Amino acid sequence: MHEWSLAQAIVESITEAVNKKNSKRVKSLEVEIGSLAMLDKDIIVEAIKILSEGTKLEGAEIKVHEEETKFRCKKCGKIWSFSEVKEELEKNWEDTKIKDEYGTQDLSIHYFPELVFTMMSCPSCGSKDFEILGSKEITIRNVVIEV
Amino acid sequence: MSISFKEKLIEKKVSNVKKVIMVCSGKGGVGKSTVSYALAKAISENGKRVGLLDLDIHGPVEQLFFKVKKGFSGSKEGLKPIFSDGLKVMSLGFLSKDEPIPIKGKYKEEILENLFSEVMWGDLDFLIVDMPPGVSDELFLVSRTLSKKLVAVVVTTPSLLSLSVVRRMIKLLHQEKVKVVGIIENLSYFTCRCGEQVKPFGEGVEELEGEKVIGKLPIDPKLEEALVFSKKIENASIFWSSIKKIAVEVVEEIETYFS
Repeated sequence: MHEWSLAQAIVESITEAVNKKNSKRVKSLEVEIGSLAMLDKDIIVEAIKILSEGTKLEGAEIKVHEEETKFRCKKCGKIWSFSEVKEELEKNWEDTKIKDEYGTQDLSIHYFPELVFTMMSCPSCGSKDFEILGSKEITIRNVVIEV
Repeated sequence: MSISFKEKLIEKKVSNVKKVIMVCSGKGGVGKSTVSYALAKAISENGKRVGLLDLDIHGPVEQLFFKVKKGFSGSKEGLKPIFSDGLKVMSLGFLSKDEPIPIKGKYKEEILENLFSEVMWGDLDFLIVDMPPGVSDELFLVSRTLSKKLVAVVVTTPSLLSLSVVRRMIKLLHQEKVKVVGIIENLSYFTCRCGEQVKPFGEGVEELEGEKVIGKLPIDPKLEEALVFSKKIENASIFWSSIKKIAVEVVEEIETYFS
């Protein structure tokens, strides 16, 4: 539930970059969210909008791309998605979940997505030697500015 | 235009941390984690607010020094560290059970960044960072992102095997313009029942690459029990009394340097 903190850093980073370029305003930006970090898309978008008020980011179009995080085993070539293993991870790692101020219990990959290498192995051969395909948390790209 | 916002997050999370002490060596097995914890504990007992960050992501052990096993909590702003024994502490050891942490390549860089960008340290006088062995991503990330408030304490044993590696580490710290507060010589000696001081790992040095040895820690047979089992470091009185003196000197050196 740290989406607000992410949104604030995004807004401030974009605002700084835009000010450096002496631009009038931001027309649009793209937010790519990978499923692994289990971020709440609606909270992020809402937070960016609210925190942008009074900045050059206010009113910018926010295009959100949600992406299912996938993995590829470097040993046997198996490809699988996060949604296929999420339930098992929730069960096996229940005792390390982190409770937030609203009582929600999050897997630690919400904060540290890379811990997936500890929590999971290739479902086919059991190896830990796998890679993450695509987005695992949040990326900001294609920030279009009006000069 | 693409935007990287992690640096901004890191800046915010450590904005109320006054000084960062990187405890490093380059060599494994010299006692960095023990010294990190003991320094943190000794400095906090002198009335300072201290945090302890275990940056040895492949082999975290700081969690072993605390009685609690849980206690992180999330918020809108990030992750609150565990508070125990008078210290705020973050170690992946609390979150990984006894499983391996095989994070490699770019993912390693990213989790290191996240360890700084997610944890809400709040107001601290000192954040002590227990560094892993070797000179890699960790050192560069810390020296790049925290340079304005960063100093290093270097840990070695008296052995030439350790000193030869530590010498390289000090050179790198100089090259990266990280202030070296001093060298702590660990496993320095023990006092025999007959009163003779025995130095099983050699005589050691008084300075290395222009940096002085600010303290020599004796071998204390009670240390393992005190740290890992009873979790009362003061029970290892020989070690504890030495580290307390060193902690005072470390803090004085830092205050002088930044004044």
